[in-house]
Amino acid sequence: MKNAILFILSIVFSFMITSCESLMGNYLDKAPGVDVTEDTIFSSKVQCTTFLASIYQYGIHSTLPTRSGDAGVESSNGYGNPDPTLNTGSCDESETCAAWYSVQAWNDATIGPNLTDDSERWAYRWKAIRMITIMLDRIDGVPDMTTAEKEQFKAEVRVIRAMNYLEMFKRYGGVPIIRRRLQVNDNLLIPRSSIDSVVNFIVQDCDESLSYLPVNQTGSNKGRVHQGVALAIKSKTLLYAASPLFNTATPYLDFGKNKNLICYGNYSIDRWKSAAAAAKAALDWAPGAGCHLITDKGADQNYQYAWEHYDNDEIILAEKGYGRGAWDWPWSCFSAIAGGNWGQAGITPLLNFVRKYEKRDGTPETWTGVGVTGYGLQEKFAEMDYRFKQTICYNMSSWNKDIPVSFLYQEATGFEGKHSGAISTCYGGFWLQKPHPHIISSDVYWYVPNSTIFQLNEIYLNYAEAMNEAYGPDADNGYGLTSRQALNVIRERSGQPDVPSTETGKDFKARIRNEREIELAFDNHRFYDIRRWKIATDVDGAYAIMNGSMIGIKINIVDPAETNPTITSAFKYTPYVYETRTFSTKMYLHPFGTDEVNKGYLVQNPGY
Amino acid sequence: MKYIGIKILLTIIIMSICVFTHAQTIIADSLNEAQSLKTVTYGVQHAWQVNSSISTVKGAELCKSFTTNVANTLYGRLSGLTVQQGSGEAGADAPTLSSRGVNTFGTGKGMFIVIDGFPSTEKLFEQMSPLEIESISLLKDGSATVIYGDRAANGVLVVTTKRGQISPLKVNFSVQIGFQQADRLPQFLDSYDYARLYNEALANDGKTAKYTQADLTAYKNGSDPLYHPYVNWYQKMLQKNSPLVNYDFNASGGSETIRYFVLFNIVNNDGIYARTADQSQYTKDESYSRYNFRNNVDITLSKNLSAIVNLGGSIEDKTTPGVYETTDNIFSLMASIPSNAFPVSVATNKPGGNSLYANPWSEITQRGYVSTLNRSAQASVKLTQDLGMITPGLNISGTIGFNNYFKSYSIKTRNYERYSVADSSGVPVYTSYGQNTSLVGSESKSYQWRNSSYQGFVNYDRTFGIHGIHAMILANYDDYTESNNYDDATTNTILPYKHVGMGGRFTYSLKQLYIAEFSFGYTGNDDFATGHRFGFFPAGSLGWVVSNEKFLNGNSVVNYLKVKGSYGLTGNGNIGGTRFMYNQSYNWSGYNLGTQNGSVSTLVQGSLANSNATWEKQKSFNIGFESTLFNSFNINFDYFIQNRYDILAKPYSTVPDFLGISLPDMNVGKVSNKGFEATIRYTNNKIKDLNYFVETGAWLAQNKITYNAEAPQLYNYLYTTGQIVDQPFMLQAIGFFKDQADIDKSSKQTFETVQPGDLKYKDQNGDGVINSSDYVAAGYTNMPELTLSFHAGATYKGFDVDMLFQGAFDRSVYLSGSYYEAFQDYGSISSIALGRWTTETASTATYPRLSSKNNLNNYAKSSFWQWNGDFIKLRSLEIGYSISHKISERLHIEKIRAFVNGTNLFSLDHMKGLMDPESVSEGVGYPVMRTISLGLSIQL
Repeated sequence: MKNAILFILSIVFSFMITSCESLMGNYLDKAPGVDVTEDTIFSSKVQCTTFLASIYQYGIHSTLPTRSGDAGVESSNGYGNPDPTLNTGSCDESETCAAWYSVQAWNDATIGPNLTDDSERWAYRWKAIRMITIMLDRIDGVPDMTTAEKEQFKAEVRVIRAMNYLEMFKRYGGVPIIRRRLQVNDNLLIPRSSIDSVVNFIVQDCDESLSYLPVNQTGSNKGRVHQGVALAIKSKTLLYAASPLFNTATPYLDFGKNKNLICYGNYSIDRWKSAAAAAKAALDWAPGAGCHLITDKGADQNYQYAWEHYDNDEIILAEKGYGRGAWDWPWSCFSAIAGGNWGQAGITPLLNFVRKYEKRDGTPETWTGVGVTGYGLQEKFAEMDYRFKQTICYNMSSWNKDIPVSFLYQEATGFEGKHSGAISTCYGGFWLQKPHPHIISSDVYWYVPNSTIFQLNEIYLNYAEAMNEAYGPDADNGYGLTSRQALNVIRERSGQPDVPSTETGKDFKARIRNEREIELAFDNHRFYDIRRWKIATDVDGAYAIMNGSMIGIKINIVDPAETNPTITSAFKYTPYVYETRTFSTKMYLHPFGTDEVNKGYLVQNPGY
Repeated sequence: MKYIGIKILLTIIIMSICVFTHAQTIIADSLNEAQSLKTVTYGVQHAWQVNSSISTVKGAELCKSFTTNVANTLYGRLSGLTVQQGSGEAGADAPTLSSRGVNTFGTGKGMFIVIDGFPSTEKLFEQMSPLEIESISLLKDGSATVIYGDRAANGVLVVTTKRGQISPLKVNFSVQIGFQQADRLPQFLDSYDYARLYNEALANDGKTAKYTQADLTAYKNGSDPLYHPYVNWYQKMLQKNSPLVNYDFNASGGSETIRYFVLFNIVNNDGIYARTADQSQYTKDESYSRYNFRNNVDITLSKNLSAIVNLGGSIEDKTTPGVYETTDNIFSLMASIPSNAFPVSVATNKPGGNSLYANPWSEITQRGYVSTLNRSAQASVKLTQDLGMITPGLNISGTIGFNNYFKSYSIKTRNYERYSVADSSGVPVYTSYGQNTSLVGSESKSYQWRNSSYQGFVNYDRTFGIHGIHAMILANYDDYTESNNYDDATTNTILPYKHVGMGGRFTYSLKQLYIAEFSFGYTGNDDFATGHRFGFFPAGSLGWVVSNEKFLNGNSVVNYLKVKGSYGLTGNGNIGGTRFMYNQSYNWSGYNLGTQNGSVSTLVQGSLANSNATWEKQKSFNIGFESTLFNSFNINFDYFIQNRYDILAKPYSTVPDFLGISLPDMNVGKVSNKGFEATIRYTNNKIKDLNYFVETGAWLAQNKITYNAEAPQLYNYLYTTGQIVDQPFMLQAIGFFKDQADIDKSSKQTFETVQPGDLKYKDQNGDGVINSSDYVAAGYTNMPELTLSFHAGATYKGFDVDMLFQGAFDRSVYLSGSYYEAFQDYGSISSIALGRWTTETASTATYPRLSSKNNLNNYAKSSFWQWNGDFIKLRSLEIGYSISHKISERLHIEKIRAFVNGTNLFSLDHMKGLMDPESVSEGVGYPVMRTISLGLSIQL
């Protein structure tokens, strides 16, 4: 205490003769802490690897529905709104039953700058891209890394950058290209680049990285970028670039002098040829990397094995998530019977989609018209393409150990929460099984989502489509694989017969698209495929794609009094129009958010 | 706001009537306002010397409100202090205190609390007993607070504890025993109404009825309590009266050399829950008790050296049945469960419940309990050396203060099995949820903080003829360290908060007529970068004691009149954001890689550093007068303008996202706040045996955000700039849709498909669509802009009476949650929904049509749910009787007084009996309590 008094008195009497801050300031210094700086990060390989992991964290986004913040670090503990990246409910695949999902905005054309479905990941992508530029700037100065290691790190982050540009390209068209780390006082009014520049930028990042990347990643490095990822990004980018939305002289909406932000401004068949070559390069990479289609589990199991088993040989890259309970994102999103009462309403596939499953003999399945009751429902299920059972939770199918039978018929109302208490929200008459592993149940309620970003089956379908557009169904351009052959590879492994060799032209193109729709169902492809093919407003009879009737079925038990001779099983179904959706031409690309457009550097996409 | 003038006028008229009625009876005898002592920063001055704006309340007045939290005694008692009530739960009932309303939209809105000269916290203040408090002063303007520098801008509350005087030993005993009742409890509808209306809601949604006529009959006559139950959870869970008891012992006295004040106080409250401990082996009764002690000693060590030693503290024990420290969760559970959901128990030892809802009764009888033990200690020593031998009037002093607060938890938890029951051909079939587990204890949580302060002073106080000089210089440093292992001890990286600085005050007075004062604070705050840590805060004030001028000397009307004005610069270092904003932060996080999804560390750059971060600053202007008229009226008035700037805000709304990093908040925001405080007190002690006073006060603070860096908005009405701080934005409801034709011709509402009876909103921008662009500023915030108080008291022979009304005006409340939103989230329905829209009642409906599912249109945030939150409450009423001195003397007792007290007796408001107007925004939590008590005090 004596010291304290002396201290005080000394301060009081020094007041007139000395600067207070120099006298007292030290007292206010921050106690030693554990502060990190950028120099610390680039001082060792260990720290630098940590920083690399941050780039993965921000730069690779789950394709499953996630809670807000899960895509990045900032609010990963929060239970915010879901990140609505699963666009299945925005197209003819399905309906997301909760009205408040922002993907619903695509269904009534209310999507707009004030209601985008990409705001959170938009910001994460730019954060990742900034971190990538910092890595490229600084990694050469890390003392304890070999040149090869440094080059690999650079290659990995450039591929992640390419992936993020691909995600923005397919949503927005041309976006600003940011090559270096920006400072607050730089000129920040960097405009959008043309489609051509963005595609070239993506391809350049992939091409220049390729030789520095490992052929594949294994063990504890699974989830990191390898050559296959670079090739897959390039294949997908060039396929999109060659597609009618972009590969055209006239954009989907008049955009004046800015039209090169949303299309090439001309049509060139060379773009299809480049896309075919890029897909071929990816297919050629696969055998040497141990990557192949799953074909040894049986025709009725191969498909499911490939999406259900983590790190199986068909997966090129999967985002590695955090473990989640059965009641939690993403698991609870797919079916109201799984989520129980946890508040997720489920995703219900529509007849618009289910009708596209062929019979196992390769011919189309037949369904009655809207309002007309049909019979023999379970028999239809039994005769359809094996992939139907592996994708869809249908009436009387097994969801998991706890729900061995899913009661999806109307009379089942009243099974309080357990089976089909939510039958009233099962608008389509189906629930979604596909991304939800059967193993998740009351015994295994904590399960880690691995969301597949690239899978080899997609590359075959990319190849089939590009080859057909570039060279026709049966020419191989010296690649040793024709479009038809590639398509049949995918069909055969699921037990579907080959496409008849007589089928060509429009029919064959439709067959490719149908195959893509079935094989890549609910993998977040369909919505973007519809847009790049510019088919959103097409209709097939009563069935619309994004504009018009969305049709579900109501399933009922057949009354014994009904004596129709065609009755062969206990269930009948009646297609009905669940909702009528509106597609506005502007929706061929995403809107930029209002806040961003108001900053003055972005030209908003036309129509918004 | 337009009514303010009327309200003020009314107040003035009432008081004027008093003036003229009683003017004749007034006999000249100065109330001596001018010579009374006022608490100022680090000291006291005569009232005539003080140019600042300060309001004070005596501890004795606080005792007129009987509550467990001393902050809840302040309603309407301190001019300029806005007190907003929170929960009524003992131990969790802290109100929000604000000086002159709100001056910032930053996060640091709280006042600086000083107890006996030392920086303290609200928590420590709330732990005090009113009986140990001599006075509480609110320092409001820049001149009054500036010495506290960067902690001054939100106002300073100075608490002074009681001290001994030179007198024989005085001993006081008192006991006060009361009962508390909930002011209002929610009114939920019974099972019959629930079922009937649920069917109506289903019909509205185009669904078939859930309850048959037989169901409805069973609900109506209560014939089938198992399958058609009705539970009023509030009746089951709560007791009508909960006891509140206070025992106090204090003694004071002393001689020239040593003077002392000692106190021991016990307050005990058993809470509102029905007794649970005798119902179950797993729980304890709700209880709250607090023990306060204080020992203040003044010692004259020698002719020139004196010392003060203060020691005070409290021990607070709280036990809550259930798994949380407070009971809010139980109250919200009770407010959510439909009244027909399940019976309290479906069979012996089988509590009711379902997959959605737990059983509230089991939640408090079967889940265990949480006990907390809080201890606080305040200790300080002050030594004063008179340096009169150097020059008369000079002294120096030094103080050391140490405050400590510690809270430990003892938690016992378990789970229980609950059952739903279904009728299977006459046989009950039970489905269970949850499992019975054994009681598990956890004693590991704790929370504590301490702060220590060191201060040194030089005082100089001397009069040279007509010149009076008062000067004070001080230096201080203090730190505050907080630690908790509430969640996980290893995550605790909290560093101490440190302040250092000095200050001074120089007052010059001429002939007791003119007073000029300059004061300053020079304070340093460790949150900011070197070179930005210290700030200089000056203030100046002028005063003119008009009544000491010759022309008013001896005037029988104007006994005392002082006009004063001040201008000063103060700061608020509690700016929000992260601490040490000048440091570039990197945050550790994790990501998964590998076939086993193994976690790897990641390191992410936080927001860019802001090396220029600094405190908020405020320029305060105050002008006012204080007066005594007719020797009976004290009239005080202050008008203020406070302009706050350098508030932390996000100015980078124009920077593209592709920069790829969050930018730091910058000191750019501005708020202005204007208002006044006026009090009129009439005192009459001239009638034989009858003394009485009437006092009324009004204080107003209206703030406005003058600049908030906001992202560009499409419509001007979307900006918060120009609005009140925390201004609510919502849709403007313009009635119910009459019919389909009405819907078709109105703007499209995008939240949900609407139907007749749904709320219709105004299309603010006329774009034909109602969406998030149609939210407009509506109403006021929870905080009243205007507070009125009416305080009166009288003594007649042995009787005394005292009452206090508080009124709060220009505030709005927002109704949301299960109590108001019928059937939402599978919830209950309350009486508010009886006025629902149906086709028959379309013209008289007061509530939208019912909906069985979540209705995103009707329960969107809208002005329909914003109600007028104005109220007038009788905060306290006390009637006492003191036995005549002749009788008590014979018993060798100095004084005996018995009294009856009512606290929070009633409220006049616009809530239609639904809810207390102050707790409405807290959700349907622990209710506000009304207390009626009897007391006896004996002074030996």
